[in-house]
Amino acid sequence: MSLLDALAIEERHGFDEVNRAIQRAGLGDGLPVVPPTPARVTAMLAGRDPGHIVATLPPARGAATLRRLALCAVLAGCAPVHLPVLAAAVEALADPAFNLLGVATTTGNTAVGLIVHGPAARHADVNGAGNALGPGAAGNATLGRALGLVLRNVAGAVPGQTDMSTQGQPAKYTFCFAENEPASPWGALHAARGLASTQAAVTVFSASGLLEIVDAASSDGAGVLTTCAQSMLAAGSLGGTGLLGGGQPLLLLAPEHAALIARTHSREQAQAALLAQARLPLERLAPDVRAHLLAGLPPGAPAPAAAAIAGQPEDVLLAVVGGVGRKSTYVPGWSGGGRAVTRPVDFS
Amino acid sequence: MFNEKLVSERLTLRDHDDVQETFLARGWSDGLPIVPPTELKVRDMIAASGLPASQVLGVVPPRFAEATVENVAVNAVMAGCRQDYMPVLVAAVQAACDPAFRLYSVQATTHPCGVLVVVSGPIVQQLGMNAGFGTFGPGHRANATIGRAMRLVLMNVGGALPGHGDQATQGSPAKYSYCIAENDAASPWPPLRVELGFLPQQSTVTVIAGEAPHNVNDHVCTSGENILHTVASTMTTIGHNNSACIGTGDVCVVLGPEHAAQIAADGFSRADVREFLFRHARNRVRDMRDRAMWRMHEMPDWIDLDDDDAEIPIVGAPEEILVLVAGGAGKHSAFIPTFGLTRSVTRRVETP
Repeated sequence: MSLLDALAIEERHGFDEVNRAIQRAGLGDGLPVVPPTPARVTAMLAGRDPGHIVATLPPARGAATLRRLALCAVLAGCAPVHLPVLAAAVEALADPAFNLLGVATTTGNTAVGLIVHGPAARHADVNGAGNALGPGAAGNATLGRALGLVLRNVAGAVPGQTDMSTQGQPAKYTFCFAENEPASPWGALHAARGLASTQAAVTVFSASGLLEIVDAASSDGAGVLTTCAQSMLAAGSLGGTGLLGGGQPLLLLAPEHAALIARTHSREQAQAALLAQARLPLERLAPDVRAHLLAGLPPGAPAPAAAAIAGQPEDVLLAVVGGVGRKSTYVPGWSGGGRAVTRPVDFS
Repeated sequence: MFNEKLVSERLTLRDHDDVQETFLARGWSDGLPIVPPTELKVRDMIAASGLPASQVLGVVPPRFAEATVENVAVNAVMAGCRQDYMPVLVAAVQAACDPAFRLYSVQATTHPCGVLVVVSGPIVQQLGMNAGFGTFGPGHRANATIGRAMRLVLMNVGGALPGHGDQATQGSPAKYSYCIAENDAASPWPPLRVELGFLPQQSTVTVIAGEAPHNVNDHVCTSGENILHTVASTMTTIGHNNSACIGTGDVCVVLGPEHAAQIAADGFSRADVREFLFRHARNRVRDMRDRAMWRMHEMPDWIDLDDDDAEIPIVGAPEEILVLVAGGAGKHSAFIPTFGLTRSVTRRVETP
């Protein structure tokens, strides 16, 4: 049973009192929470069936009922419009391809990130323009936080008990943003992944850090792609898959970078160029790491000359995010493996 | 703020005597009469913790059962605790379950250690705890029942039943109830909790897997240094575990206010006291050889075990001697040897 079910907050309980209790009960993330009074939870549910099970989440095989999601959403500061987005994200997390059991319990420092696509971003006030990865917009801040609280309070990924992350990372507090779709020369990511561009949707992904990519000098797309590719060669992101950054790297391109690239490259061509260029020669690896990698190859398989960032071009995920400037961001996935998952949002 | 179904077994019993006999028969008692843990009393005790009933406070060996707010509250009621003692007990249980405390060994050993609960801070006054005359002894409900509740949790949740789980050869009266309060007002040094990094206005509990206190009677010395020599002498009987387990745990010195005042007046800080005791509380190889627990545990490399005059400390460093002030008027202090393979643990008391 989740301790969430035992919450019986009433209007008479003071803000400080509720916050102390939530934190001491291990239901908080350390930041102040909104007291989940019955009125707030009812408003969050907006008439939906609180007992409806959206998904069952590892590691504790916790049933993500709408009531539990609503409680986390209230605690995080969400508005009622955010609940369907949160529910879609939870559904996506439960897809076996995402490997939530691994992501949520690893000693790795990975966080779960959330991209809100299409009409969902507008409805839910999720910013995809300037400072989209930073603070300011309520949707970004509270939806990402609610998802973090779901991992802790519903999935049962409790730091130190089941979430064994050696260092953690700030993105585990909150990590949610939208695409800057009007500024994308290639349309939206969810459309590239098979949904209608007019469909409200979310994508969840594992994020083992964020790396800024600065290139204000290149005057063509090939140059920007070279800078991006060379920025993705972190030896420490090499995992059991034999690929860098979990094999499904996410590149968040600033609109100006994307515009330069799009003069000469389609989305598919940009993905192929990145995959071709982003190769870490094996001789650059520490000897023991190299030996470990080679020992893990299937019997008879030829030794590769370099480690790649993905197995195929379409696994290089590109999204256009941000405002003015030539600063992009590389997000390596969890080195243990797992894939980004996209799901539609049902606002009805 | 939390509304939960309780999971404890429900019994329907005739009267007070039936309660006592049933609890004794089921092995749920320390042998003394208990307060019947009715649902109403247990619920009130849970509410006083400000925590959900199902919250796990730790895993208690040797049964490796979860201590929950609910089952700790049941034992608190049985021990006779007032509801406002509950936050102290919660912190004490959490502290005892810290891996550094090594509760499995502490519970199961043949050694007679109990679990001493030292309460420090403003909560001492709030609960009416006795930090003065007879702090180790009977007469005050908070000391008596918090210590007893701790023991009942160790027995009823952890399964440390004499002869099963608790293999103590002889045990000790300190295993009935063992709880004192630090006497802030009479301490010439900042309280222990402040030395450990807590704020003066915070309250803490420290758990120590200690033997019953060994008395340090010094009515004669007029200098702090000489009082400390008497303390050091009391610390160096060879028959306690700390004479052989060096660098694997800490020991505790509880100074009476008059001893402490004399020692401080002669210029000793708490660190000086620890340093002095570390250097003077030493056994000699000639007294230890082939006695007590000779060579049952690793000795530090720098001790020449072939040299009859070589000195053996009882801890590995001055910091492993806890020094605090408790008690009333008079010329007595106490030394508390420990299980030896255990470290005291301090936790903040969080009131709802």
